[in-house]
Amino acid sequence: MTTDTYFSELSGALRAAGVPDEQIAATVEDLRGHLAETGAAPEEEFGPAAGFAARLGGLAPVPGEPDGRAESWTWTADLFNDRRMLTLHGDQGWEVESLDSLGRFVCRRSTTATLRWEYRREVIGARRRAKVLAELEPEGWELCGEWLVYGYFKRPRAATAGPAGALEGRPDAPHRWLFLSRRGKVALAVWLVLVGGAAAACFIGTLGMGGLAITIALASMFSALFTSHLETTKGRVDQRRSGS
Amino acid sequence: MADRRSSWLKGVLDLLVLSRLTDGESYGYEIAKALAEAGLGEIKGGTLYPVLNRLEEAGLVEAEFRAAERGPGRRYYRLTGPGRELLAAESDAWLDFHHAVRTMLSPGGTTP
Repeated sequence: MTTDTYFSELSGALRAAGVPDEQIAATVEDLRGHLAETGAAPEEEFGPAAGFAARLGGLAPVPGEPDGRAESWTWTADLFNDRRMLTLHGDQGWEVESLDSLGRFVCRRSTTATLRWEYRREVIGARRRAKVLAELEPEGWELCGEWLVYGYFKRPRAATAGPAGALEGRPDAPHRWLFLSRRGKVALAVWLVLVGGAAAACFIGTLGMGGLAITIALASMFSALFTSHLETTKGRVDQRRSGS
Repeated sequence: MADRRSSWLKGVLDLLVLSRLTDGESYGYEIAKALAEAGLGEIKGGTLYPVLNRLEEAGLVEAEFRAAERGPGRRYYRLTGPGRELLAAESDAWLDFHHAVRTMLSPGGTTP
């Protein structure tokens, strides 16, 4: 890729992210100066243009906008439903800022938001972490939260879709905060029955407080293992299907 | 090992950039060069410019683009009052952290 092609791609991605033309021109000139001094190729110095643009501009609120004017919304979904709901809400301009200690997605949407967001979920256990980050960060993916062994990544859609990644409408913030799939509801119901049974047994005296705590811990653990197993199996089937 | 160094740098790069501006304004390449000369390794533009942008958006530095008579123009960065305050506070916090790590890693758990 020539230097001109690189900067033309970078300018396009910054424009799609809502960066004003004047600022893009100054940025490109500044970066060209940097390259002239290092003597490096643009991709080697800055990484792929789309990813660099995503890291450079359009991610932060417009300077000067009081933070209080941005909408915030916190919600959660089960493991079967999270990616679908992230796609849906990302298309409405919601940016996940973090996952809180309860595993809920803490989102914000600036009043001047112009971006749609795309998300992906990856297993980032201790061994895979560095490898996954090294693969995804150059493509503009940013780790926005972690839950158990899962890492959630975000990227403005404009980084790959160009102007088509701009926000089209901005429906009001939903009143709901919980989005459970059918399988998630079944797992939750089984968990409630087990824990409810244990609580009742504790109440009538056949189970001590220690027994109740152990039952809750075991029910939670098996519920997490069961849902994670189902999701992994589904992922493998999807992978085989897309590979064939 | 390279991964670990890069993680350390990630946690402190914004402070290093701010500290490079305490003596006056500077620009991207000059900042990267100063950090490399200080033994912190090569900081690629792909890492440095997003950090500079974030510092500017947070009001910790001010940037001014100036056209040059010869060659491309440059964006010059200057430390602001809040930037100077944050640098002082966070530098102290980093030095406390560094001291605690040094104490733990020294033989016998005490600093020499």
